[in-house]
Amino acid sequence: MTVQTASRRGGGYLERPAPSGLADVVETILDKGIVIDVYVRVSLVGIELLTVDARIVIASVDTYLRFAEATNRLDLYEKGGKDLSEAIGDLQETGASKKVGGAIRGAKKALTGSSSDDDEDEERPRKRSASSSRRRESSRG
Amino acid sequence: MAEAAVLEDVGFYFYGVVAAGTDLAGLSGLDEVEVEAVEHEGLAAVVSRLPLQRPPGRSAELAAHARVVDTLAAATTVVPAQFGLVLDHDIVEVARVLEDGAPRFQALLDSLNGHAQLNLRASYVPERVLAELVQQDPQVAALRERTKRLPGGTPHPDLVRLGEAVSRALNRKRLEDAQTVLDVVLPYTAEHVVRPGGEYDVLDVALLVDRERVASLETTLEGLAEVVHERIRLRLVGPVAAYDFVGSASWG
Repeated sequence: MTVQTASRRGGGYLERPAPSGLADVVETILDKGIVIDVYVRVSLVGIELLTVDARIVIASVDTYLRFAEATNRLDLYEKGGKDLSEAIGDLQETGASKKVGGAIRGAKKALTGSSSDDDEDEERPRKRSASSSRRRESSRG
Repeated sequence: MAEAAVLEDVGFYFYGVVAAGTDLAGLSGLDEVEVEAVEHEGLAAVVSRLPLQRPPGRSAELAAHARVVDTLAAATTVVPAQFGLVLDHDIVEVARVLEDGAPRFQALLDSLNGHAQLNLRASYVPERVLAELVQQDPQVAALRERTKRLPGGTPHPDLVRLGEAVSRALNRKRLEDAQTVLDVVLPYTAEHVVRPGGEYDVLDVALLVDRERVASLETTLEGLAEVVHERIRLRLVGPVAAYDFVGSASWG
């Protein structure tokens, strides 16, 4: 499920692909929507599904081995002249996990505005950094 | 609308229900056949004709179904039908389906009115989140030290233990991060449905959003994506029709 070319609008970080890629279409609509009471004879158009991967996390030995392999592959970083602690940047300190969680929490605070709630209209650039405001404007193009 | 003649070997592919009077001009569906409305009691079934002996479909049908329903959803409220419904009777039967389902369709149209669905997926950058786990979880770090020189291809018990520890730690992290993302988006949403995600997904969620608020949700998510992009990627698809919010029943 990786081949979708993500069209990033205006260089933003939020990926905004058009919903027309097959993978997205499959995920979006398969097995969803109303069905109708079937005293009228109804048939299903058959379909070949090529790309539905099981998106359910199943705890299996296979999964574990994949995780293990991916984790051990991380030393590619180290051999590539970049050591692990460097690779994870500023997270190596003792409060790492708090810091990581704090990044989003901080974002949340900045983005939702702690005092005002969501009833505001869409133009609500308060508490945003200059760079993100600029980004937003350019993303309107 | 066509006469009520029984059309041998012709079925009606059923895309969904909209309010009567909805403009369908220029909209084509399966096999590029123009869609038509069958109206009844203020409702309109959106259908297109197709030969019943038609060979089984491929992904093009799925794409056509999505195109019709999402095009409608961009302009108006639509109750999407499940993919693959073909009524193989005459057109009067299509109207009868509407008559039968009228209260349900009307209630859905009312409740979805002015809303659109957006699908949000937040996924970890795998190398990054794994590096965090090695850093933060002593068990993961120790097992990794023990196993990283093992030859590949052999499922050594320690490798399984390592994977298990990674999986456990990842799930803990996921729960926390998913809640944080939800806390950011839920103020903008009327309803939401969390869906099963992939191995490295933080959260996969369908959001029902008032159309007036889609732009501010996007802005907020753009800001969030910027802040977290080194470890989490955010992907927003839509607006699409409210597939996840019309209830769904399996074929008995």
